[in-house]
Amino acid sequence: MSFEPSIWIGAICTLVILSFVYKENPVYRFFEHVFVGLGVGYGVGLSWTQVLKPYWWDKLAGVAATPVSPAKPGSLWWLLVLIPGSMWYFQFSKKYVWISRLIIGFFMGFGATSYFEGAYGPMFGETGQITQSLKPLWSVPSHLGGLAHADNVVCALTGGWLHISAPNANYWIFLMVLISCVSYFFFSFRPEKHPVLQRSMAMGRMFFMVCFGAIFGNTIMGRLSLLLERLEFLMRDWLKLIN
Amino acid sequence: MNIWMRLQRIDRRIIYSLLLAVMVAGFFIKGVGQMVSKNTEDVYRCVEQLAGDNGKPGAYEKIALLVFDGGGATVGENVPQMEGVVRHLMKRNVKVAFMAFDPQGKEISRDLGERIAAEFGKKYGEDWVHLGYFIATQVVYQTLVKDFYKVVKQDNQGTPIRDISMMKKMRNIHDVGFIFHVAGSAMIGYWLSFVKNEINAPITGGCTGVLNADYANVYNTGQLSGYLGGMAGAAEYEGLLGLMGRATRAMQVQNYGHLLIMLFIVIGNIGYFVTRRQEAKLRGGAAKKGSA
Repeated sequence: MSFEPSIWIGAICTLVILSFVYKENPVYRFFEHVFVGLGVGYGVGLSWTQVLKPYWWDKLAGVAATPVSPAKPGSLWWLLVLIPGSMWYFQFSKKYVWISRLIIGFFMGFGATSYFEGAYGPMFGETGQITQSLKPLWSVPSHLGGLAHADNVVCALTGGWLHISAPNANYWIFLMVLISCVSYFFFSFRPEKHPVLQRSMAMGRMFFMVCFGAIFGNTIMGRLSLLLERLEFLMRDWLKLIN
Repeated sequence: MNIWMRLQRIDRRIIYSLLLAVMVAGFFIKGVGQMVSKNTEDVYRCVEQLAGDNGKPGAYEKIALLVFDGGGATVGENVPQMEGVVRHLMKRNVKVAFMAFDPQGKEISRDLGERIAAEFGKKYGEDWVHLGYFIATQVVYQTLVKDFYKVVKQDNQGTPIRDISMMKKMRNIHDVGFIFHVAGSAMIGYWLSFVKNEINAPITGGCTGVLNADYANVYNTGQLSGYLGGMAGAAEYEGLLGLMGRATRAMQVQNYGHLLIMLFIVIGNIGYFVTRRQEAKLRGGAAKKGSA
């Protein structure tokens, strides 16, 4: 067993937080508040050391020379950044809340335009989500390479409307799943009057359930990894039961 | 209350106690082997490709850019993923540059880099470097492509980037031969939106188990060249490296936990369907009596 105070504090904190699994208790609640306080304090410290100081204060006040880097002069222009920065805080005033809306609107517009610029490629580019949803439903099996040539000839002779190739089962399933899932969100018609749409929606719901099941399984794996990390700490660093 | 109804109402404390017991026991029981997913193999293949290309005579040596975008809540999965890839890169003598898009991630990735570099006898500045923390906005990604050194001006210790030996040869983002981004969020999308079409380097990633489905989407379309999904991905990567590391051991323990949870799901479902059938029978019987 370890005799380091920091390991003991870590082990006690872990056990108290895990005690919630049995029942909520005052000790757990006390430690929960301690963690929230620590988290906020740590966050404020990080915001200053990692963001505000290097990206704003050092540029405003300048940096003295160090053995590895030369001195950098400051610039008072960086004081101007305080204006848009402070506008966010007007959310706390009923009278001047409109000032905060200006900056929120600016960032929403900025975010939306950046998103649309960046979204085009992943959606419509060569490997985009939408482009890749248009799968070839017929393809020539790789072991029948000679057919590919014949397919090209037939295709060229018939102006592209006739192919001699095999249906691709995976892509048919993909198309079926795609259409049924999209139809679930098709609210323009009442499904009870359209039996085909009704069935398609039911099938879409089933596929959603399969998808949610997969996500749930992965979530369980993620959560168990977190528990495991704590168990490993208790057994290796605290109790020294494993190497 | 019959047995089937009781099966649906097992006290959570019993379930948690059993889970804890099974996982603790798992540390002392030999685990079973595991299969390797194609998405994990692809990350491995990309590293091998880069190492092979760098080793060709007269080749321009490219570096690997590793981004740590996780914090305390994701270390359990993100650290083993990053460890595996860093070990592979250093073993194959590829130069490594770390970046962090999370303030906590900066500290975590720096410690990780120092630890593994010491294992392989790699020197800071010559074989690996930590470029520090960056605020991950679209503008940063776009600027990395347009002018890498407009974003990266100094390393984590404040040394001007041009004074660092391994960075002297690097001209722009096109000298990066491999990108690996581990995260507890879907931030990999920014690489795909703003960088993917501009460079030839494969973009790969590591995600927490919760995000596996999101990453599978972009991997299946070919946008992501490979990814490590959760702890399982990290363990698979260690398997490819022939290592019996932290992730492999963790996954062996976790497998027992998964089996127990699956058992409870099956038991709960059997209880639910049997109870439903019994209730339907009772309702049918009552309806017959009523009509008689």
